[in-house]
Amino acid sequence: MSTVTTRTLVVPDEKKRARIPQRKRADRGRRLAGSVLFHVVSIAVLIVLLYPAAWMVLSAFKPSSDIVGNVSLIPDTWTLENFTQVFEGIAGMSFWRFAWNSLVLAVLTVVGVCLSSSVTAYAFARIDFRGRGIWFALMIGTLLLPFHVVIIPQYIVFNQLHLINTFTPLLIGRFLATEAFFVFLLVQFMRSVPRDLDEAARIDGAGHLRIFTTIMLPLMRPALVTCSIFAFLGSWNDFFGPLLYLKSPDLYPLPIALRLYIDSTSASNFGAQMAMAVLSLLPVLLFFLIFQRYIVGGIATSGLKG
Amino acid sequence: MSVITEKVPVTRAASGETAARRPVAGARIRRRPHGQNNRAGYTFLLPWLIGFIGLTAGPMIASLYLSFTEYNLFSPPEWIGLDNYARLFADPRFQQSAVVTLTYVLIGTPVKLVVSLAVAMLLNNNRRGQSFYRSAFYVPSLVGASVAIAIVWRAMFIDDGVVDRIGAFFGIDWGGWVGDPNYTIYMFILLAAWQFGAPMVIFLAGLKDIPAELYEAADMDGAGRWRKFVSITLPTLSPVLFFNLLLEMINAFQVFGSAFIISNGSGGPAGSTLFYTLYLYQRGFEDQQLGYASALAWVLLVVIGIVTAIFFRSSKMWVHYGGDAR
Amino acid sequence: MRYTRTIGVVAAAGVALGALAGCSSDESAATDEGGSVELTVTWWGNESRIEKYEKSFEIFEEEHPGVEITGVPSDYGSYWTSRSTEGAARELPDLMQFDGNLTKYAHNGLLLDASEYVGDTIDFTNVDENIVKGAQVDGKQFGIPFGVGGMSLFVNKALVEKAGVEMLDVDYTWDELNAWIGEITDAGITNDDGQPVYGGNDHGAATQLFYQWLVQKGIEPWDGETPGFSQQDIVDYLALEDEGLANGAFYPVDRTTQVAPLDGFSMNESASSLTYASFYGRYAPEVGGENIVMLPVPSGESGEKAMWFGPSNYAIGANTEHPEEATELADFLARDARVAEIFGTDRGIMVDTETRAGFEPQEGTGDAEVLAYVDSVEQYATAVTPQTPENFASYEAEWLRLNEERMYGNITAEEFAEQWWTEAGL
Repeated sequence: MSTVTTRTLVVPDEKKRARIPQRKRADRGRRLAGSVLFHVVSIAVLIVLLYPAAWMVLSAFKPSSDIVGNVSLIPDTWTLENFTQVFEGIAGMSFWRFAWNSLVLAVLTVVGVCLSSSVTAYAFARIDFRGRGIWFALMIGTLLLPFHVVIIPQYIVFNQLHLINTFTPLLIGRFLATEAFFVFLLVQFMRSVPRDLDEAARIDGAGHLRIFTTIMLPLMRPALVTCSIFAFLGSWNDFFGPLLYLKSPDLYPLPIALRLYIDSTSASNFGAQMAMAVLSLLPVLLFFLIFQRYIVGGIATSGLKG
Repeated sequence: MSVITEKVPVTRAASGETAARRPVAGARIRRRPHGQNNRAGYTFLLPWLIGFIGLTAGPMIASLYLSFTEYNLFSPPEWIGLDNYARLFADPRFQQSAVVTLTYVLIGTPVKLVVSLAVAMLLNNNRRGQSFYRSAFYVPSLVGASVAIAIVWRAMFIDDGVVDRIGAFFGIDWGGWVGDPNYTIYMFILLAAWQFGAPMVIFLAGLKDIPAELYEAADMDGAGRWRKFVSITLPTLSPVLFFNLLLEMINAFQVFGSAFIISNGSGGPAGSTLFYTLYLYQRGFEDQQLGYASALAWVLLVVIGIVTAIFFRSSKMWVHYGGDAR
Repeated sequence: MRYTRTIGVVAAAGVALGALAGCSSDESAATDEGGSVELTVTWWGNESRIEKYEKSFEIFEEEHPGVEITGVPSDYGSYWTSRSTEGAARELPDLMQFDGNLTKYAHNGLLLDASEYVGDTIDFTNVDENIVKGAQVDGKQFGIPFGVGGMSLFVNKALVEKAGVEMLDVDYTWDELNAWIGEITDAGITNDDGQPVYGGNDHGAATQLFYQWLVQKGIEPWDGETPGFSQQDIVDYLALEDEGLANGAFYPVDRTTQVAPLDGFSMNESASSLTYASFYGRYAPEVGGENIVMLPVPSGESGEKAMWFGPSNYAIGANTEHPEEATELADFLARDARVAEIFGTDRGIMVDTETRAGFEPQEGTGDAEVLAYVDSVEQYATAVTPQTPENFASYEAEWLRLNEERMYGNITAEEFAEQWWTEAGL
């Protein structure tokens, strides 16, 4: 793989347009038609795209029996019964317990990822040490590694250490920078930070630790925010890990708890499922609304080019 | 200790240019001997090293060993040589899962990328609301892999469900897709396509980097839309395309959550949703055949390795790095 | 520097929170602090069963001060992955609801041999010998039976009437059943929701039906790990359904997939269902108790039904620190009259004849129906519960899966038999 650079989003330059020969009325008309077409198509895509989400949200307000056959989005009868059922809990646990578990896992994930990934990225981006190239290549290699080849031994080891049914197996990797994606993102970002400040600090006698904590970290805030968001979302939606390692209902995060509602020994309750699905996705949506700039921007800058 | 800020002329050029700014004679230059850097380097790298050895490399080797054994978790592993691999290739369910997964990877990934590129091109203009649409289209990517959406998705594809009704509206009677082994895979392909937002954003960023002059020059040469797309857009985007394609493919091989939820852990009906990861889960953690499951994992690794290698090889032919005028 | 401190604080908090979170789960095994005994009990089931267990625990705890019981309910799907994990770490709960996996766990030394407690904390005087034997593995009492169940043919009386077909006679055979199913399907009626009605579900609900057929032929299904039957037997058994399959008489499999976890009978789209008698509890609310008729299983060629009632067992982890209390609890849950009041027939029919006699279900309830059914088929219960092999669970899963494939028309009966045989490693 050749070296990678980051590019920031570039909005087409207004000045360029001035160089184009003078707009004529016909051009303006065409532009208007183009604009209308653009919006029409975009809105059409938007509707098709968001239909499932809208269906889910509105179904949560329908009584269970009305959900299945109903194509129409708007409920015939609005009811909050599904939500009350969800809050009543299942298997003796309340919804808040599941949400709390998800929250604890997600927050700790964010902490772990930020700490370990930034430290690792600093090593790769800023410190020249022997073997750096090899370790870096190996780290990138793990991006392409399917997790299947590691879960079974990990599971066995955690079992021997009596760590099954705790949060530890799910979190330990986060504190050890096992997710190369975040390290990579931060390395990219760090490389684009000029070394002048580093050099200056070094002249002043600063060691790597000082440089890291007082110069790098503050500068890296946008990238760290992006990492935090993705780490949070990744943990919030994680299903396989909790499925494997969490066995008692009082530890279940939302994705696993959601599954309890479709247990085969009791009749399925569509309404409550939808309500719980909505509730479990609310934080995600909220996050997105607040941080969308970072999310979308972060995705853009991670794009590999050249 | 203070951090010097304004005195130093900060050149916003690419990193590496600090050589031009050598400190004046007399100032203390703390040029670290290589040894010291090693220590610092490995100290910072320590967490990752522990993680790499303990959670990645170590387990990899262990699972390779396990793949040559029979291990049911209760008694120690028993060496059986290549038996697992022999069994694997004759195993009808392995074949099923291979077909399902490959279908999903080979159809779903291109579909997803084509859609995302198309929408990115749609949005690649300076019109008002572009950033709104961009954000809105991204939302499904956030939630697409969640259990919640998998549940909703399934509910949409049952008999008399939303999709059935839509088909009926167009005069097609395809019934519920959930119960029809011929259709189930398309549920997943649609789910993948639904999440086009993430690659789309990357494509959009890439598109914006293409200098307008290239298009204008082509315009003056009388090039049509398609020509411009093929000769300008695609080549310039090829690194982004490569990146997206590779990552999406690797992800597609590892689908689990939605398959588990939609099929209720069964991979059914009739094995039509038996994604490879699901099959591995069933064998390893439900049937407790951990040796066999390890063999399955390694086969997947080798396949992905080969596919990736082919990809990188072929990239020399169609990916153009740094070819833009900028 | 400020940042270092912040990082330090956050990291420390993170680790602390992580450690706290890690410790927040329930641990099995007891902590003996001043004589307090902690027992962990696991089971699978739905919401109502959780309540029933909790109530029963309260009674036990009252009568045994110093004993604290922690119940860990689970859904069936994840029950055995949890147990296998615990088994590997030798950390099984004190008391567990068990099924055919008894043999496997016993053979691997994971369960307590409760033989020495029989006559002490465990009392089998009023429990039928066959049931006690059915809970043994290699002659040792690894299982403590708490309920018995069998198979039954559920019939939706209303739908049968609507189809204008005569009800089956209690002595019906396999062939008569399949022909009867075809008749109803051919009648082409629809139910109240306008959905087409079929004569019955296919007979792939459980391998136990195959074993039933074998026993009727005088074949003992399993001898340890060796099957007493051959591939041809499987083919012959499946051949019973051939005609029905060809004519589309059985409830369509793609519909089954869609309505899962319900089935055709629950949906009032299938007039019959040959399955576990305990399914009454899930059928009654959907179909209406008054519409359900329970018939015994079909008769074999000899005219014999050779039914048996298999026990459901509790088992105790070999690593338990309190075998006395655990066995006491098992015995209590299995035979105590008050527990029987609480559970009714939710876990099957009571194993203790006295408890059973003392239990008076309310008229018209599910409990009454099931008990009445069991009484009515007592005369047919001539067989002993067949032994199950170690890998019963995966054999069962494979059988069900192959059955689905067959119903979709993807494999023939021969291929079914072949694949099952290979999968079973035979």
